[in-house]
Amino acid sequence: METGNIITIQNLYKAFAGKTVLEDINLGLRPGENLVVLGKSGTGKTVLLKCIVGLLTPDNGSIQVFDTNVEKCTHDELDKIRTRIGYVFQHGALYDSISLRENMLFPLMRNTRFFKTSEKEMKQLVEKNLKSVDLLDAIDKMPGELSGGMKKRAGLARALMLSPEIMLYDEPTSGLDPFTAQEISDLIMSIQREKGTASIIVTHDMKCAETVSDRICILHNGKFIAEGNYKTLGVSEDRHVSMFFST
Amino acid sequence: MQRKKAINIGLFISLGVLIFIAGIYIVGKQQNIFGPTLKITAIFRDIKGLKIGDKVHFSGIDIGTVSSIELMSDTRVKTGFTIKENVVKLIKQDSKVTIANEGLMGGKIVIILPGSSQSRSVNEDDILQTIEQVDIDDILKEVKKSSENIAFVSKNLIDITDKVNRGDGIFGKIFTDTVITQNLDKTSRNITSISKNLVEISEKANMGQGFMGKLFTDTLFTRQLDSAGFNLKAITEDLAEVTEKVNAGEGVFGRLFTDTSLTQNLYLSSINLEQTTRNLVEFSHRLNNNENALSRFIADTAFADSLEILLYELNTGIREITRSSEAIQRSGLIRMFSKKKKN
Amino acid sequence: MKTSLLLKNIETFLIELTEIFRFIGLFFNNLFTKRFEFDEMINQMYKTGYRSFFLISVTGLILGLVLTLQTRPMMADLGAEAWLPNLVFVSIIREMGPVIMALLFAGKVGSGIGAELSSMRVTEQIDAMEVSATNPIKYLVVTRVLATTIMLPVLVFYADFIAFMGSFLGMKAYSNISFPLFFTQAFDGIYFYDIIPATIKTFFFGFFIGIISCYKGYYANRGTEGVGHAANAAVVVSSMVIFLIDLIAVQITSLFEI
Repeated sequence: METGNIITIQNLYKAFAGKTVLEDINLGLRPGENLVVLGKSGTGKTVLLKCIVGLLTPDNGSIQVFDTNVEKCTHDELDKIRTRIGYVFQHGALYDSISLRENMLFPLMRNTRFFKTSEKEMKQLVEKNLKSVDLLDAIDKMPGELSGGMKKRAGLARALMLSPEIMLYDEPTSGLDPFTAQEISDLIMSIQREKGTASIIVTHDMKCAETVSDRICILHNGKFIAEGNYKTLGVSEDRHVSMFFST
Repeated sequence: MQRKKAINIGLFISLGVLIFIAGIYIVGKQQNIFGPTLKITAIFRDIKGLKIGDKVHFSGIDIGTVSSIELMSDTRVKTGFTIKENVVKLIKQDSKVTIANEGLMGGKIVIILPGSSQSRSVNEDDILQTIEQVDIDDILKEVKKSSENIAFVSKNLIDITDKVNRGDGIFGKIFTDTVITQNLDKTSRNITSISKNLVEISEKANMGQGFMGKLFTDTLFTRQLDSAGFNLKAITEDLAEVTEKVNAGEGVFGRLFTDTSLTQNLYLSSINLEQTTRNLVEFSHRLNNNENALSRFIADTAFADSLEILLYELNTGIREITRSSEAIQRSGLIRMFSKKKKN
Repeated sequence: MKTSLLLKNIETFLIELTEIFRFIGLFFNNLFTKRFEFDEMINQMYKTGYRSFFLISVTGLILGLVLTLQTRPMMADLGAEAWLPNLVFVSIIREMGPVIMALLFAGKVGSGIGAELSSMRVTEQIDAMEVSATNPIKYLVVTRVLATTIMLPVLVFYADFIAFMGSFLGMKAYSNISFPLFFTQAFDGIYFYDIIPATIKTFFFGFFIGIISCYKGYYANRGTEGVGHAANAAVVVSSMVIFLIDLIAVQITSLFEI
């Protein structure tokens, strides 16, 4: 077992209604790296992310985040860990009933016991993060008025509100046009560069994987079947691996 | 924004709750739950389905509610009433309590009848005397019996008068006795008056004016009626006896009517009859004058039928009496009765 | 084949029932543990109660008016027009007000909650919330259920009041009845056992509309189709439960009536 990993997953099993989704998953995330998990739809990539933040409890195995076992810790500990993780949901997961500004403020307001932030600081932080994703103009709009790409960017900006040490991206570029997808990929890169965060990016978009990945794990039928960087995997002869690179 | 919403919600809920409290208060006020009250009790034999929360009336005004009903033994029901304090001074300790019908559908109310003015006002937990209401079935039974008796009497009267009309010599003598004839005259006048009233009643009853839920809610009245019926029964039995004796046979007549004790008897009977008829007059008068009763008179066909039979018999009797008194007295009085023909 | 399908249906029903009870347990568990989302509750009260006021008012007015106009000819034939206000008002307070308003409320608010929560579930907003140190049961479910439980009875008070006025309008259309007389006639023969059970009943209506709608929304799946399904199921099941509670309430009320 490698040391120095900020996330360590060992022998993770997860099944839904008797159907195994994740099987014997072992994974380590090193500080500062962008790890891409490649896999087809429905192979349990999102389940993996949700297990990491404790939204789902694994059936077996352990998940260590910052030296804490996620599946065993208390609610308070979990909340504390979650403040250090930024989770970017597939469709942004903006709260429909409140404006973009309130969406941005939500993680701050809910975590006042961990962060003492003045109202002015909050306001500045919201504006700064929205500006970084180029959404400052839309600050008082409702989520329903935003396009799919804007929602993803807004979701990203919201995940950044608490200056997390780990970012988890769930299909950050899916359903976007190539140009917008590239924008998102660039954003992911700039976040890594500027803040030195470690990230797990779950995707099936090879373009994105090529841009952002330091390391790639390939998930097939609930198991990791290959690991390496974009170049080494590109020449692999495994049918399931080459399938991703052939397109 | 949040503040404004909170204020709105607060206002909204307060107003809603205020409406609720107002409703509760109004209902509570009707049941005298708020405001000073006094509790008095009465013990009934039968409360006839009275319920807690039913109203208590005094002189027709709603002054309280029934607050407790407790079965003490198989014939004693202790009933408590909550009475508004401001009317308590008007309720005397010798006031009587009775249960009556409130409306068409069988709701009950408690009626407190005024007591005497000399008596002291009631105090907390006083027990008032009760008047058990006579059941309508009992009344009707009594009335039917009376009317049967009257029918019998009048039939006998017809027999007598028939014989008188035939001009029996001895009878002439009797009827020259002014006291008896005067009595008979009065009696027949009274009977006429009764029958007139009864005709009106029965006409109304037969018309069946759609109404008439509760006959005789007025207990005093029903009592009177009851006693009248009872008197009448006794008297008619008396009369029946006499007239039967009269009818017993021609040969006996001579002896009969010379027997002063018998004539005395007849004389007394006629006085009694007069008394009775006066009672009946009053009764029927009250019925007609709508004193609390007739407006709720029920279209009971059995009752109406027996009334009709009674009237027919009475009328026949009266016609006969009228004719005989004409023959005997040759007075102008007959004209008064001659218009009284039913059919 | 047919029996197995029936058995399966019964099985599904029983599982659903158990799940709902578990959910109710979850609600109470979260209701009495620390951290109460007061602001969100105010928000939900505003949405469910305040925003339903207009609907409830209009319906209440029409209800009072129609009941009066419909019953009037019959009562007039019986010569018991004096009882009309009381008859109408009693039926409004005891039955019509609570049940009709609850059905309306289920239609408006229940479907709203079902759709809102299910779309939040489908678009992972509920997960996002949980990641932001927010217990979604507390934040979404407890607040909504409390809001419906508190607001429905308040709305029914208003509705009863407005229906009362509507009934007066209905009376006024045919006779020259004065308001004080109408008022006396309407309240004549209204007892606590007319008001109190009806009020308690509405709390249960509100609670179950909230719980069922939240349950249906909270555990929605199957993407956007699930949203429509949840909204639909929230209304249908709530309405059925309203009648069920009403039935039970009648039984219990008649037990206590003397």
